Amino acid sequence: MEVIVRYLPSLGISAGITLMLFLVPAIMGAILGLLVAVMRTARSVVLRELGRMFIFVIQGTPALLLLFIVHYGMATLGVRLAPALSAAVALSLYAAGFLGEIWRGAIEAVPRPQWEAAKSLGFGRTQALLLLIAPQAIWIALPATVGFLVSLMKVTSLAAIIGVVELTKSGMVIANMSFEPMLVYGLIAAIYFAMCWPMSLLSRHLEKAQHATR
Amino acid sequence: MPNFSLQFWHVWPHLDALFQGALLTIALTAQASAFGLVASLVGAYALMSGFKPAATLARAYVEVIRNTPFLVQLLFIYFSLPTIGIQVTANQAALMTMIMNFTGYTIEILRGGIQSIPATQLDSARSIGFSKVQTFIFVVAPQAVRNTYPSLTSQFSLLLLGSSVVSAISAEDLTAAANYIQSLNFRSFEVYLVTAGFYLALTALCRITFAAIWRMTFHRWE
Amino acid sequence: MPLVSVRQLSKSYGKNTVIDGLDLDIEKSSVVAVMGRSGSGKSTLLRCIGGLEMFQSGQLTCGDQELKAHQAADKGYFRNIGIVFQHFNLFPHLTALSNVTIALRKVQGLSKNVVMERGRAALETVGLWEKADAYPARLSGGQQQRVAIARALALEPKILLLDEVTSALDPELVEEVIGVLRSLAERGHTMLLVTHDIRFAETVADHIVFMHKGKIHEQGDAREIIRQPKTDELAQFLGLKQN
Repeated sequence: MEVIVRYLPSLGISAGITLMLFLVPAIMGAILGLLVAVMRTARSVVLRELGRMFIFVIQGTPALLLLFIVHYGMATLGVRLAPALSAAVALSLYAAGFLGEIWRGAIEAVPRPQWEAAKSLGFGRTQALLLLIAPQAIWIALPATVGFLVSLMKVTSLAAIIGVVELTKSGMVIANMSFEPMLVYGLIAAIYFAMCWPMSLLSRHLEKAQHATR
Repeated sequence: MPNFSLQFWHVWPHLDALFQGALLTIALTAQASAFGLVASLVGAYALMSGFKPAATLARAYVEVIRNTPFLVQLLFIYFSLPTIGIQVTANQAALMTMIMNFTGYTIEILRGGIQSIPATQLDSARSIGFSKVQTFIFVVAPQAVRNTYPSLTSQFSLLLLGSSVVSAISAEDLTAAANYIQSLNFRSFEVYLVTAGFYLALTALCRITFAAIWRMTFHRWE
Repeated sequence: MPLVSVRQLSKSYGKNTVIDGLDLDIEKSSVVAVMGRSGSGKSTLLRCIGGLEMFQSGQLTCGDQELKAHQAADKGYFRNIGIVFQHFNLFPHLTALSNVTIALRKVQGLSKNVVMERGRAALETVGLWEKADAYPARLSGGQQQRVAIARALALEPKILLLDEVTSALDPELVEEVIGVLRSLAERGHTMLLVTHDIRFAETVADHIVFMHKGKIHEQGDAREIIRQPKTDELAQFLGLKQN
């Protein structure tokens, strides 16, 4: 027990690393995911197919394997990245693959007549998308987007397996040293819960709010 | 200067190891989802029963599973059980955690499916003398599973992909096989790429199988 | 010189011919109602004139703009027309005023003053200036449709195209929309209405065009052809003759 208390500060730092592994991929993944979503709804078949293949590969590959490919795989090809950086890159791609699909769905969920109204007012496709369709798509996409962010937070734990000293890895070390796996992993789980549960509640709340306006 | 020459021929001699690993992955996923489905039906029943303690317990279970990482759940099970006297192998701990995890998500899915069953179904069941439990087993459960078939099959796929994490405690799944192979030939990139291909093939196989199951059973209920 | 001129327009969806070699002239300041059964091609005709659909053969002239077969309408074409849809199609995330003015700001790039002036004028014409800051969700169906009309008016189009604009409204809300359209007709706006509401056509239109199987079957002065249809099909449509 004393061991655990002694290591609480480092646990705090590890939680910070977890937060970074969450925020950076969330933002990078969002940017890339937006690009993918636009590609998926583009007029060009080439763009649409490229986007589709990206999503297919990302969603069909285990997250852990993505981490391994970026970290160990790139190393054998000569590109050596620090574990945390590999994790950030891999998780960004992971996020892009899922957010892109969610946002494509949201764009397509905006009723066709909205596009027609925009067209009849003289709006070009890009302007219509930016000013008129996107705001509606964002609202539609909110519950699923927040829901995915919960998944992303949980997936950051996989970085432990490639050696990043985030929350889970920290837990593994402390559990080993204190011989109290139940207590330690229970505590780690509780910390993740504290970070994830509010987002889950928000996602559910947003979903209910949407059903109300229908 | 990065060396981008891909040498896949290092991987082919080890394909049988990958197949072995894939076999365990399939076995784990199939068993976990089978047990998990049953457990989820029980859990969904508890959740929707009027009995407060059971409903609260089920709700708490779902929330904990869905808001904590699978890896942490796995480590918890694998390392905690021995401390209370239960010895488990890595594969056993993997299966247990996968069942636990699958159940947490599937209870929620089934809850939605159960809610969408019209009340008239329950009235008919009562009118022919079914008890609450019988109604659940013979009327509610089959329809709930049918109504949520797409979500359930996608949960299966997610479980299959998520099972790769059990390699972290050295359960001998597909990812563990890949880890082993690349430690032998040092061609990590090629090995993991081929392994990703295996997972893609497995999920494609699942899709086809589930579509066939649908056509052969539930489809006829329309 | 008619404002809108349709020459030998033909449009099919795959093997299905919806409009078959149609000719039509719409004079400035006239109000033309296009009527017909479902599938007669009336909505498609409006959508072709409105630049929302491309057609396979024929020619379309609207003011100074021309549309040929297989040609997509451009920004310049849409300047001349204002479309009002059956289901209003207001942008839910914008207020009534923003709905009315967004195209003026973003597409035509007009100055703030001009935009505000035109927006206000359009909303006042339909009697909804006091609802300028309301969101569509807070407005009744009739009010939403009137905002949609204001949105089309604000563009100062040469012709207004109205596609079944009362069909989605509850009966008690139809009157307010008809009232607005009547006043627009009195002010000399050129309008093309598609409707299956005979009473609506009779009270608002000068000229009625009856379509049957993709062609104009009969046309004439609004009140005359409703009272004395010359063809059997129109008589049946009006319910004056048994099949």
